[in-house]
Amino acid sequence: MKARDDSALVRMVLDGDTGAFDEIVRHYQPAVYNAALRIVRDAEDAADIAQIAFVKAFEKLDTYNVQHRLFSWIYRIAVNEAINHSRRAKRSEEYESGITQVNHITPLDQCTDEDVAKQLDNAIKVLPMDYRIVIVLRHYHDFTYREIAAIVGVEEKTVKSRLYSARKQLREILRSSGFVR
Amino acid sequence: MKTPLDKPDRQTVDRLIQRELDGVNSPDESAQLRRFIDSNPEARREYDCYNRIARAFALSPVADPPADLRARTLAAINGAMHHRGRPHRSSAMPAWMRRMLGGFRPRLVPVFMTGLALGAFAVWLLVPHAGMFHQYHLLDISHISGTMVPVQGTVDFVLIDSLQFDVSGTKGVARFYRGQDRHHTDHVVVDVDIQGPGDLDWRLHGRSPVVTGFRTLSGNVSGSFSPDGVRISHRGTSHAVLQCVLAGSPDRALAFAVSSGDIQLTGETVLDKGVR
Repeated sequence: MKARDDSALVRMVLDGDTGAFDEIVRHYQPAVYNAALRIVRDAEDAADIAQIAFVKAFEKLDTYNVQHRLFSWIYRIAVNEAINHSRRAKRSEEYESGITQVNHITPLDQCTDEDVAKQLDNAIKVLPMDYRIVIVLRHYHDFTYREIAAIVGVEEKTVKSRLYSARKQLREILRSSGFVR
Repeated sequence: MKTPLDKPDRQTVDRLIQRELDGVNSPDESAQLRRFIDSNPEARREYDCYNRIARAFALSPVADPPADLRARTLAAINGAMHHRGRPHRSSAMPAWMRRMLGGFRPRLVPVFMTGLALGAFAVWLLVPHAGMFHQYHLLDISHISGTMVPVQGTVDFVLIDSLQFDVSGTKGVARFYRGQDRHHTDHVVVDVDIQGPGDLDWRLHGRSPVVTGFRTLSGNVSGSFSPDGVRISHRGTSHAVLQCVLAGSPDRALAFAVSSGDIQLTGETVLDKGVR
């Protein structure tokens, strides 16, 4: 969906054609759901977050600034909701408690990229929340530093720093389990 | 020449690899990284490691959201809209005027606004209105017979348009809901609310889409179907709901005409605002 289509849809909704919001939900909800799933690691929670994010986006649509990309704005709502959800759930960060789900039995040279992808998913789950969010937005949703900064509400240099540290941690987790050198 | 990386070089390689992963290296920086990789096994190992991780990101499967998530979301939005109203455009008042009025806050304003809100709520309760998804959301149409195109399963109907009419003092509104079944056959539900003393006739026909069948879901109406469309006779004040099936690719307009005696009004609804 092009940016101008988004702003046209937003105008239609604000002008009373609320059915136009269905197009926005249809187009962006799968991606928002996937982002939430990778952040909160639970399918039901992710579905709740994806639902709440769009309800809030609808309610606050009159505050949306058309100078920004609509999906960045929706992601921002979803990410905030995911963070709040995690705080409410008071889930302990497995990484901090030293618990890891990463296991490895295949010799490194026989590992396929798919094996690494599977273990990478597990490794991301044990990253601290701040790192997990930037990794998900950068690598699974292809946002730029600037967009991630806007979504997360930090400066670009903080995004770069978090990405750097997150990748280092991912590498260490995968290396300790023998998936990369 | 192959040499171990010293600390400044290691930092440079780290930075260049990270930037390369994000696709933000300049051509010069990419060339510099390439030189490091070609000349130093440690740099090569670092690069290969991160590159493998980057490839793994791309291979990670994408999960399908629950099948009913969109429907749940739209229903929740509909509920929120009923409770708090739909969003509106922000005030078009110029900034200088807003600033000028910024300090003007008489005490009666909150009272007035509260009264206005309560009045609006009362009107909202009294006047028939349509939510985005109304009661036809996930309507089961699995038992259609007669001239209808046979379909299975449920159809997720979305409000796409509404037309108000006033013929000889008999007022009403027709709301058009559209949905597709799993075979991509388009269905339109026409919900007609009529308020007034008169009898009405109304008809429905497609300009590009062809109405291939209909059934009355509720209402004291009698109707007939022909290749020209659907004709309905409506006696007395009531509410009727009609479901139509459209053949072909209904991406244009559906004409709606309502008449009483010699007076006739026509309107049309554009269907491509709804489900694709």
